[in-house]
Amino acid sequence: MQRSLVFPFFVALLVFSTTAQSGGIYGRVVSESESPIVGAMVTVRFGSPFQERTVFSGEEGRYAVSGIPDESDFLVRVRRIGWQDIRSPHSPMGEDASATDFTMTRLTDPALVAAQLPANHWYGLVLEQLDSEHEREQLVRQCTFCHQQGNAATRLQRSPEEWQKVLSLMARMGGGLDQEFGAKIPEIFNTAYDPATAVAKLTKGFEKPGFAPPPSAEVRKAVIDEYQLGGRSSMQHDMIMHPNGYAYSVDMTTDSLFRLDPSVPGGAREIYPIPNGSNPLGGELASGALPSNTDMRVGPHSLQVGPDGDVWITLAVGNQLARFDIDEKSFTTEDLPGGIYPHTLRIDDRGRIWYTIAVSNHVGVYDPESGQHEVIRVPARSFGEEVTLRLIPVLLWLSQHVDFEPSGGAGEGASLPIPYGIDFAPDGGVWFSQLNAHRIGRIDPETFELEMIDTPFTAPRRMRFDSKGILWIPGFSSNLISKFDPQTREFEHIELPIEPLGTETPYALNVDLVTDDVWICGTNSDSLIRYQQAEKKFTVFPLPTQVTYTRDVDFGADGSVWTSNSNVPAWQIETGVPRIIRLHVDGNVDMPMVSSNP
Amino acid sequence: MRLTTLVALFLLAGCGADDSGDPARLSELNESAASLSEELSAYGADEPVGLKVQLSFRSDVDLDLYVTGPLAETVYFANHTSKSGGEISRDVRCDSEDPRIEEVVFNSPLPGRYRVGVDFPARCSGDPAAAAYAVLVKHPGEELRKSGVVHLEQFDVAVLEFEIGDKYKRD
Repeated sequence: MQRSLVFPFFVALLVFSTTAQSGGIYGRVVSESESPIVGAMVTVRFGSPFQERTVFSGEEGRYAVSGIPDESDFLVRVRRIGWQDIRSPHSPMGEDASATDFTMTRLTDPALVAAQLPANHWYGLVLEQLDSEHEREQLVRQCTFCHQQGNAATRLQRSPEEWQKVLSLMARMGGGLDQEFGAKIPEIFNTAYDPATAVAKLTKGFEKPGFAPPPSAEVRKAVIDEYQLGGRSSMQHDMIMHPNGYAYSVDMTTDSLFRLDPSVPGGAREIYPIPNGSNPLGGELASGALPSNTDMRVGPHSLQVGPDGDVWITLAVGNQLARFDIDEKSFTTEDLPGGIYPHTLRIDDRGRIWYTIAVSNHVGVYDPESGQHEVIRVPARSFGEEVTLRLIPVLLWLSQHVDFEPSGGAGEGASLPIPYGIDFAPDGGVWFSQLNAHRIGRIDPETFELEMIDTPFTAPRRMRFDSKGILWIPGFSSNLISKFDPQTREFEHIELPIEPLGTETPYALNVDLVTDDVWICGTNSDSLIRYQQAEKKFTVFPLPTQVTYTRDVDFGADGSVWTSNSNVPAWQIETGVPRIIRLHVDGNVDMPMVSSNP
Repeated sequence: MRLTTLVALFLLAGCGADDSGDPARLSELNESAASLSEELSAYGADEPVGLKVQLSFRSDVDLDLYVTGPLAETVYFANHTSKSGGEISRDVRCDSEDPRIEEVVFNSPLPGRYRVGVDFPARCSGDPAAAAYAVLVKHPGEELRKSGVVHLEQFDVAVLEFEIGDKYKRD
């Protein structure tokens, strides 16, 4: 790092996102030969718990980060694939601070370059070995359920015996593979992740300019904020932006609701413990294989804002709905009358809470005004599956009193259909997906009549309607988004552009109803992906933290795009703690936000 | 998902009696656990430099030791080392040599909360539905013991939790 003379031009840039009490840092990112480095991520970390603000260096390598509290020490990290990270502590700078330039050093060790690549690049080495589409689909859907594949913690070579134990444990946690396919896994993974071949494949041509090109000028305008939220055993499963300007997030493994006020530099956080009664770890119907560091007893999973501003939450392993009074800061809970594992919820125009019920294959609806519940059974794929699903409550109860013969883990053949995402069409119709059954369904909001439609792609996950009544669906194991027209019943697929092609696992998407832009979780590639319908154009926004596993998207009133990093376990995340993330596409960060929102 | 396991087994194979529910069998398992605890105390009576957590079990089962450190990262058979300095000695499986002891060591343990978990993923012989275990935690001048019974495919994530003070704080 070196200081250089003040450039008035950069001082002018600093006003783009600041309050009267905040400072900044600016300068250039250059190589040892003084050539500008374009597209480097310059990240400033300040506060405790921390906020990180990231910008991209532009033409001539220029960068400017503002919004840093005047009194804060801060840490700067400069990152660009192919170059050695720079980490540099700084003290507060006054208004007359000079420019701070960073000089990056080219990496010459290909192993270090390979380690900088997002997980999906590594995972591609596994996927390219699979000839069977059935096996590829199964692997992607079942083995990226909770965490990325191909990150530093998962791209390991293991003995066959260790692999079998891993597979057995993962099956007990819900990610099972066919036995025959499972037997091939050790060789497939060990071959793919052999450093002798993997590094060379991943870094071919890394010394040439075309390797890992910088993001486009459009992307480089973006500002990304990441707020540490929760602790090292946290899992910020879903987050939402409340119309009051606060972000709320549910921490599934610590049974907590978090509130973040992003109008305060660094973010002001409040934590509300959710009542978990006397539930045992894992809930009343614990599955037998929990994350080792969990404190989950009710498992808050998904959340939405009700018409009165209160926050509604599904408590997945508590088998309840919770209502959080945002004024009183207190919870009330509502037991489910049936079904197991309330999952994702949405609230209709009448204030009714609709939610998928994952394990028992239901969709539920609760009317807080009347206190009335309905639990709608979703059709099974076969008679055998129907019998199985109806026996689940009995079997769960029995499992706590009777031991069964050893299974060696659940196989893919026994996987449950899993009702998953849910949203409302403009006509009020309630649409939902069944992840493992590769179907979507519609429920009439008045008669509860139900219709199922097979999707011509695999693993429809969290889907949303746009303003014109088109349903957008991510294919978690099919590397695409699909637009479905409920009128014509036609699907149109659009392949995701993430390189290497076919390695993405889009967990969720959401549609910005102001622009009708579709925002997609780049769950395995540390990215957020925008699809602009009119231009039929994708734009990929890389996110700064390695192992950013995202499960939902929401929008701020100022047009910002929000998500959370909920990789499980959190220790796989770079720095080991979850964050919620705000992306300002145009770099125009308005603060304070609270006063600017209704 | 284990639910599917249960369902599939119910449909295909039926279920067996939980032998740990039999008072005589439970008493036998508890005696076995107490005996394991004594054997473990006698095994390797060296004074550890840092923190050592050991799990002992019988040869008819494969049990797994999980130790979660203050940074909430867990050391176990599939995560051999942690950022807080934990390291597992070996994964003792059905075909492993005696002694059937798994061990996680932190040479310079960070202060904070530790959690010990025990899983029973598989049988090695016979058809036990439950298994005895003993856990021994050693750090200079102190020992913690825990013994008990775990059930097949039921991961007890917190058989023991304890705090380490800042005596071992690393530079």
